[in-house]
Amino acid sequence: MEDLDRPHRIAWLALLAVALVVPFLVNFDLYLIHVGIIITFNVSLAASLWLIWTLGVISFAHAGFMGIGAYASALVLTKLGLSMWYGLWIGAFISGAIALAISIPLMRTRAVYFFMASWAVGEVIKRNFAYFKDFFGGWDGVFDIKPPVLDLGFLQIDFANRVAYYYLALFAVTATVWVIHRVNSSRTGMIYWSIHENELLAQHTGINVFRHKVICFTIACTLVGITGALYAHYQTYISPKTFDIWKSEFALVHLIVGGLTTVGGPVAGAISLTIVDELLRATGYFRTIFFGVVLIASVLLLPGGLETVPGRLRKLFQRTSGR
Amino acid sequence: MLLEVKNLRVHYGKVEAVKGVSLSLRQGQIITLIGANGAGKSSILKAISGLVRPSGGEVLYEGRRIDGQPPNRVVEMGIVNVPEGRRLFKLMTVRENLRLGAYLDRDSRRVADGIEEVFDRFPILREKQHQPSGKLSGGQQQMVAIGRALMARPKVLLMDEPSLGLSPKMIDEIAALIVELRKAGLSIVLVEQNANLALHLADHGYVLETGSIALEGPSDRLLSDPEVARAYLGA
Repeated sequence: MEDLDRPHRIAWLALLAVALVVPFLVNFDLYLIHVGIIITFNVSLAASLWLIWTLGVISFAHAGFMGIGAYASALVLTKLGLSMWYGLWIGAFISGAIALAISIPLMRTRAVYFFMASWAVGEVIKRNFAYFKDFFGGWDGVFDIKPPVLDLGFLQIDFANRVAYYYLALFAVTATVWVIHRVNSSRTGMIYWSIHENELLAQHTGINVFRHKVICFTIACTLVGITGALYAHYQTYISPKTFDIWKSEFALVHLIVGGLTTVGGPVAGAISLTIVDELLRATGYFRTIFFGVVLIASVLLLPGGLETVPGRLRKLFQRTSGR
Repeated sequence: MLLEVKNLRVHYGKVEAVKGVSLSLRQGQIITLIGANGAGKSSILKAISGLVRPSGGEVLYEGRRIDGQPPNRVVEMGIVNVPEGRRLFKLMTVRENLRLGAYLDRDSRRVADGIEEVFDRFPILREKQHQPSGKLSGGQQQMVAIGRALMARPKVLLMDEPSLGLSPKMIDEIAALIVELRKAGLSIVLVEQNANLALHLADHGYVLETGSIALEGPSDRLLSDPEVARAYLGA
């Protein structure tokens, strides 16, 4: 809720600096850069889900809204022939508009009913992509979603190049996290946390709780719509299954392992768990089991998540240096 | 008449908590609602602040009907509730709690001034402004709760059991504060189980029993009423 103090700012800048040189560090290894791009998507997904969490709820429809952004941008390309530079904004707008419409009934539900209702919304979004075969391509999905080309006149960047796409995705995730941080550290963020802590008291205080919930949900879904569009044009192929409940649940796991009280939590959780997931790829069938073990271990051994690590280290350091 | 409640009814499901209550509050007045647990006192306050929708009757504020308005509109009009049990955003600092009290005010200069005014009134809060409000003592939490309500610059203050769970010394301080707030021009609806305290502070009292008014009148008359003395003053 407070503005960033100096150590935090340094940590964020260091993270960004590392992210900027990653392609050089890995010697332009295409697989590792691919992992880097997937990390940016997962960070955006988890961070925007966390913005909804600041209201005190988790939306299982979140991956669904990512899907709306992805499908919108993909179809703008395949049906209208407009590149991602248009599709991105159209996808974000449609995702936001649908989120606004859906959140009006959705935000009237509370606690466990909200979880169930959002679950249903996520499932309905996925089923719609599958059901309207002619328009959305059914379970087969949409193919041939070309990455964009940036024409600056003197310079042409083709984002079919993976390194170029990495920097595009990195720019997008930085902007997303920055927006979420700004919202959270503003007066609006304080209002979200007050609703989170005690909705009734927030009403007593004169806060229009319902309106704030709707706006917060819409902002988060607009942001994740952008992520979806970037995802679609990177993978060049999307299907309804890409954006199912499981995707939302993995984002929730990223939040829990990373920590829930600052935006650093989802960022740390999404980065580390995406890497863990990739390391476990070799184990094939057992991947999910190992992933479960990592999850349980982190919850048991590190309650509060990765975001508590700096504080724990500081405490440990003070204790040892105090003697 | 600043605030007028006419024949108010409140239902929770099939249970009728308030059965046709009428009260009125003049500018600069303190009125009190006394009565046992479950008599419907808090429900009346909630109905005035828009937190529950009355099933019958009217609430008039400055001559306009306000029943059915959402709580944020009611706060905007100048009626602020200090809820029972010193409810605070306990994870947030004292200052953040006060800041949220002026939620509707976008003028950050005036908000900062308001916070200073609260600190002048409760100097201990200035010292503790960066502490989580949940860590404060009961009396200090009540100060934050009242301070937060004052941040909205209300005309009418609805106070729900401000003395509940406080030490005798702290109760005296809160009582002095209520007198001071009235002098500053506020009109107050005070809900109390501590009938003795409430009737000494208020100009007019209403005695509630199971959702309706059993007795009403000027405070001094209620204080000398043998029935009230027996049932509520423990005499």
